[in-house]
Amino acid sequence: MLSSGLLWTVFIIYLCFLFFIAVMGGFIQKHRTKNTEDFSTGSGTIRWPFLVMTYIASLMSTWVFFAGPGAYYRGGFGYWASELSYICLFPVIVHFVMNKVWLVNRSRHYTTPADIYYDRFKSPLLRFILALVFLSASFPTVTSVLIAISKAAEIATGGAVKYQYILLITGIIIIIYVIIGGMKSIVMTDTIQGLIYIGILWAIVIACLIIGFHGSLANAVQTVWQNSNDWFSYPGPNELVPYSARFGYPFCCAIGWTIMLPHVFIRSGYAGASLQTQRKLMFLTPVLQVIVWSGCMLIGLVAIGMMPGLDTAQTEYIIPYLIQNFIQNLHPAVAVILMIGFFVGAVSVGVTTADSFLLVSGSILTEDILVHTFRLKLTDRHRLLAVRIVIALIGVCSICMALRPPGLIFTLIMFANAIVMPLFPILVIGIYWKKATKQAAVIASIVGTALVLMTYFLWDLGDAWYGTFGLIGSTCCMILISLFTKQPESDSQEFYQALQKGEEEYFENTPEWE
Amino acid sequence: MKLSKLEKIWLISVIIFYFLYNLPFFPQYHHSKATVIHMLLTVIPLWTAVYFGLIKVCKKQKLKKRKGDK
Repeated sequence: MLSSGLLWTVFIIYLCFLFFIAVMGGFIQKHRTKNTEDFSTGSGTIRWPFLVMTYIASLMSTWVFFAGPGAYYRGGFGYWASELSYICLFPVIVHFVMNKVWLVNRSRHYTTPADIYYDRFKSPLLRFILALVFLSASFPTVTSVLIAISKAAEIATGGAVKYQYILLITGIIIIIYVIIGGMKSIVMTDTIQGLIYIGILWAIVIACLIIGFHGSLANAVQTVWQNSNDWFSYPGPNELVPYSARFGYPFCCAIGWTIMLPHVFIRSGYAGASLQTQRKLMFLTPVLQVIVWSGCMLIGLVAIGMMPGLDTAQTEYIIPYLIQNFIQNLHPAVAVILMIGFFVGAVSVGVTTADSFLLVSGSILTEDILVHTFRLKLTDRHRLLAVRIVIALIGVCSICMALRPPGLIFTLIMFANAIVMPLFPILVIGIYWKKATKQAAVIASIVGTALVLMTYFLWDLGDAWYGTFGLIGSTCCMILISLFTKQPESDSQEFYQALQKGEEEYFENTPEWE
Repeated sequence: MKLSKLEKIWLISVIIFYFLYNLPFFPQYHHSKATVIHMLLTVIPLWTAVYFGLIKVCKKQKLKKRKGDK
């Protein structure tokens, strides 16, 4: 398809552009990184346009250009409806949970997601368990993203470019700029790359619609309605959305994917500059998500309209498949441009996810495990150095894992979303119920995680129910065990004082609405 | 932590609409028109409830103006 020379040229230009943005970001922000909080979370100074874009960019993985449109091809209109059903829950969850996290963080200055759990429950064991869970959610994602970027290069050139070369270069570049700039350089590159991949996605949608259906969406809908009517009904043409998955998948996305994954947890809970910023995030994020997923849905619609009856493996790479097998025959020049777009889009959406996960993994491993669990005594400067070294090590491990890639990208990413779900009720109950105890939190985290693992590996229900049983299990444990155990109120006093102080400091009329 | 009446109404209405969307066994499998109608009658009200409530809550819970806020 693309020649290897052309792909390398595009790739190198893109990486130079990325470095330019990262360096410019450093100049614009002028603020020197002083400690790990600064490095890992931006110390709550990220303004709303950057917060919204870094949130969206890091949230969306290479799924947007790979399995995403393919899932719409197989799942149909019902799959899109299920996406819409959870996207709008984001403002509600942020209002009731993440804004409280943000308020507490203003005086407690957290670095990792487990910090707030420790602050509330004062349990080192809980912190250690959470660190392991959050890390287990991060590793597969960094790896799967690196795999996907390299696959994109391989597919775009028909195998002319070696998977390993792209993997190594992308991995090394990401490691370097994360180590140098931390959260602030990531925020800047995420913002630009987020705009780039959304633009490319919609350019592909419009081009496919013009070539396949003379630019008429009504034509495309009519064709699919007549020829593949199952696309418009549950459970979809490939039975991807039965009733169980219609609930389980969006529920997992609402809790696990958009809130509890550690890189987005930090963005929606710690990084925002003010409560105004948080509100902008609440208002705008669902709209941007709809823009991205509707683009993917339309690619799925156009693809099934033009090429019905593809198998699952073909739909996993539906965009390049569409370009190579359909557009190439009609408009070879447009096909080349679209293939470049596919590659750049996959790289940009992948890099934004991988860098965020890499940063948060480095912080978790250093802060939660080395410093707080193994009691490594380090000065601020040495801690910062330690985070950077750990990021490099995690990055190298992820590259090594990606060199011998596991089969299913989709399962790996969805497993990450599911495994963090049981931690959500622990946080919510911890915020709203003063009698919740650390014993309950520890047991709930263990039982919840075990139930998610059983859902996937014992009962084989992971594809439909994701982390739902884990979440229910941890909620029940949290409530029941808290009723039978006790913890001194002094353990959570500072946490609740910080929350109250935050409310008094940021709201005009706290007493009235309490 | 207590919730205001408005917050409770908002939360409950969102949960109800989310439940309505997820009502088991409805619409029937392989029924295209029913799926489209079901989507229009559940997802649009869900979005409306979320944003209407969000606007109301934000209006009610006014933020203090602070130095440096833009």
